[in-house]
Amino acid sequence: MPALNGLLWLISYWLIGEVVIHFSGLPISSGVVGMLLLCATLAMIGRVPSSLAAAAQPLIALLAMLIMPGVVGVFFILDELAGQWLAIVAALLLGTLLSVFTTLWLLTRLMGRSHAD
Amino acid sequence: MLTNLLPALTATPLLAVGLTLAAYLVGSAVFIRLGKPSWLPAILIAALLLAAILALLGLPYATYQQGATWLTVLLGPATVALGMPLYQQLPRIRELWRPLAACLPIAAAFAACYALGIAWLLGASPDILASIAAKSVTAPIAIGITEQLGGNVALLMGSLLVTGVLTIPFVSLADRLLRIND
Repeated sequence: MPALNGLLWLISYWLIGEVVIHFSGLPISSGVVGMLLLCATLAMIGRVPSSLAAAAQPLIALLAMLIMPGVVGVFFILDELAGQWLAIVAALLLGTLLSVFTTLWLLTRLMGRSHAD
Repeated sequence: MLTNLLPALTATPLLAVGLTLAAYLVGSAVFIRLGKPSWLPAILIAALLLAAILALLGLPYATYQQGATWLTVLLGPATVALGMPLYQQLPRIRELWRPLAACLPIAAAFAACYALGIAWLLGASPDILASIAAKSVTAPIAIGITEQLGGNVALLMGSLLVTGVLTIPFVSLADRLLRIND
């Protein structure tokens, strides 16, 4: 079972991330630390071991399902959010619109400049 | 007899896991049937379905969530797994590193600031602010951020969905207005 081997890699890196955060107090999640460490390790090895790919690919494909229990929760907190709806909806709508514009505007300016160099 | 059935079924996490799997599969199938509409992601169909089933069964969300921990615990290793595509994209990232390095921190900060600023101006509570700050980040990482900030993960997920759904039409609109070709 190469996938089991790969899963052990992933769990180990997550645990290492937890240890790093415990001692450093960094305000990020252990998953992110593990992700960066895994990426650095792969860059050092220079390839993706097949056992790791066997575990990582299906897990990434399942991400949408793994977040579902959290998504469902939003329907059960609707009452708690009463009175805050306008703020939430406006923040999401306008915020997304504005940030899309800012990002694209920045990208075209910066890309344009680096092409012109 | 029937009144004892639900406690018996929820004694193990299998009911919660089974319902989640079923809703996910049905949601994906419906999504494909509808011709993959960008305004209605498969995950939203599945979540609506699952919420309806829970309501019909009279299964409290907290009970469901407890069982579903069996699935959500995998988010940790799944986030680590993202290190693999990250490594595979390294050559492309290196190619574009200058504009990306200059643009991403600013753009990401703006995305969070816009949402927070608007919500704060309209009088949202600190809990809500902590929940929507990470709305533009990919889900498993955003969950970590929201937990650190002490926000509500459920509200974050809703915000992520809305952001994701809105971004596609907004990008094409912005494209047209800013006249970007690629």
